[in-house]
Amino acid sequence: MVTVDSKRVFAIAIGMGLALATSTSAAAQDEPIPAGDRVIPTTQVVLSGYGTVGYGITTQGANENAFNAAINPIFLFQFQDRILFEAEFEFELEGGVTETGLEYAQLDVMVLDNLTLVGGKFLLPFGVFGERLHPTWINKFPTAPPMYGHHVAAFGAEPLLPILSDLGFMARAMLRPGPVHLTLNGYVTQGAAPEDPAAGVAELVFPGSSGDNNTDKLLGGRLDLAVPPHFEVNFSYMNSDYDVDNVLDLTGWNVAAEFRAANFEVRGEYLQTRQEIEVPSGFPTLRRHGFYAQAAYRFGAWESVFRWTQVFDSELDGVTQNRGAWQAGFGLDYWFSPSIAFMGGYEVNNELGPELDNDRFIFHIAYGF
Amino acid sequence: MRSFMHRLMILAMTVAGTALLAAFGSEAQAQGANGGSVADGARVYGAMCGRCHNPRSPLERTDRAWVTIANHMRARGNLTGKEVRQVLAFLQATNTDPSERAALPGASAAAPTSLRTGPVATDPELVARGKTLSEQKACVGCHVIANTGGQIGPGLNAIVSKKGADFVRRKLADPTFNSSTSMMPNFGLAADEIEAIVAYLNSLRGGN
Repeated sequence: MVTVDSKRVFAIAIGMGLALATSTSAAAQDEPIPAGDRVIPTTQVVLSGYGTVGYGITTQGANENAFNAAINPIFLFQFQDRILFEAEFEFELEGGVTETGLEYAQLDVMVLDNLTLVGGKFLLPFGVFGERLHPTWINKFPTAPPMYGHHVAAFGAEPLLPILSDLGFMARAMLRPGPVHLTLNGYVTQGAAPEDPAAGVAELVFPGSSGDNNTDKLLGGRLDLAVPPHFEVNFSYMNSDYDVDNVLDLTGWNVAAEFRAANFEVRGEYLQTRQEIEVPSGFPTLRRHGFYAQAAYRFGAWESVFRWTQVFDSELDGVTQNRGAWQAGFGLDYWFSPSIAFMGGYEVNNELGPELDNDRFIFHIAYGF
Repeated sequence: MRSFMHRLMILAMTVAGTALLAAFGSEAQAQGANGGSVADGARVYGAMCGRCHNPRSPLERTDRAWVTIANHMRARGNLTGKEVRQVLAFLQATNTDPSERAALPGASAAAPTSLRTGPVATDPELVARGKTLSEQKACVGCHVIANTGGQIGPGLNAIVSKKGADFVRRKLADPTFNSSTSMMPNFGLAADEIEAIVAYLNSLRGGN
């Protein structure tokens, strides 16, 4: 178990960092956004979002051959300059059923120029893909990196974590020392829970419901260092108890990096979770980790994409628990406009365990509106 | 297992931290702020928005809608309030459809459909007008001109000699003619304005 002291130290560090960021920022100015008719007098509603229609067919392994469609409307309600309520819904056809979901519903309060407070259900700043890159028109490949699982991401191994949104409170502070952009995020949320509490080694989910399965809250944070538009690196950490009795501990950390120059960009994330398991002899730790790396090159309206994802063997106190898997993705996109693209991809999925591989073509048209 | 005191401590820290930040905020409020310039906004727009996705065309939204979208991105993409104001200055200055811009008071009546072709004039007055127009349209926000400027778009010092005057004329008249994802706004320039800017860019390296 992570001791109380380590979590306390982490919370103090986040709190002090946020305060420091705010107090020392040269950009800590507080001016109403635009003057005159640019000010929103009361409430303004804007609809945004993205939609996708696609088709996938397996060439090896399971026999799948199907169309799919999804729409994610985003409603933005702004009150004057400083308050924004935003919510994203997901409607997706899945096996003949229309699945619905609430990706986030959050209240943003722009307290200062360089400080935003967020409450509600929000995308956790844990890594970068889940918070910023998962919309289908932004993600350059038709599927998400399978280590996250979400948006038609078939893969042999269990995703290390779902794309995360959770209920709670977050503070985000920004610093601009010279060309470097520093951002510190700290948050407190409900936290993870076992998908099946009766399972010996439980898969964890972030239920994002108004109830909590225990009294412990998840504490997390992310430090972003960027030199836009060329370079960014992010360090994320989270910790909470996940069981009903507040005994079993989950710790996750993530390092993400991105480099771009002219028409080329490369990005990747490494993710590791350490999850305590209850067995008669004690509380051994299940360690799971993996990464994805993606390179993209633009030539005219075309963009080629290559993505590699690797999930390593999971280990329970050093003993292999589940075999890992890897996926290679080859993609080619055609951009009709900055936010409308046809994306085609071929996935080579290799499980290192006994199951069959599921290689497949996937095509979709993604429209950000 | 977390104790009650531990949870209380976290709650207290959150409240104390928020109060502390609010106190710093009050101090900061008195310091005032800079407004956003179009050129700064163009730089921020390309650098910050382009980190995650293709920058969208300014024409997609109205002035008021961009305010809400920019705040959505402020919460999602780590923009400061100052950067949001800069981005809005750029978007709101460039989001008028060329057909609507032609109807605005003071707009030039000449249409870019009458673009010149061939050699570029070297008349000093025309070059000076082009320089002024280039500054007004904040080209330097995205492009290096005379060794200063942003790096979102290609440098323009030798653009006329590299691409040819006709390419530059056409690009200024319709920025998406050669790239569907170009974020360059259509400024609705008249043919004579385009010719002036081409003359100015041509003068930077002195020749076609």
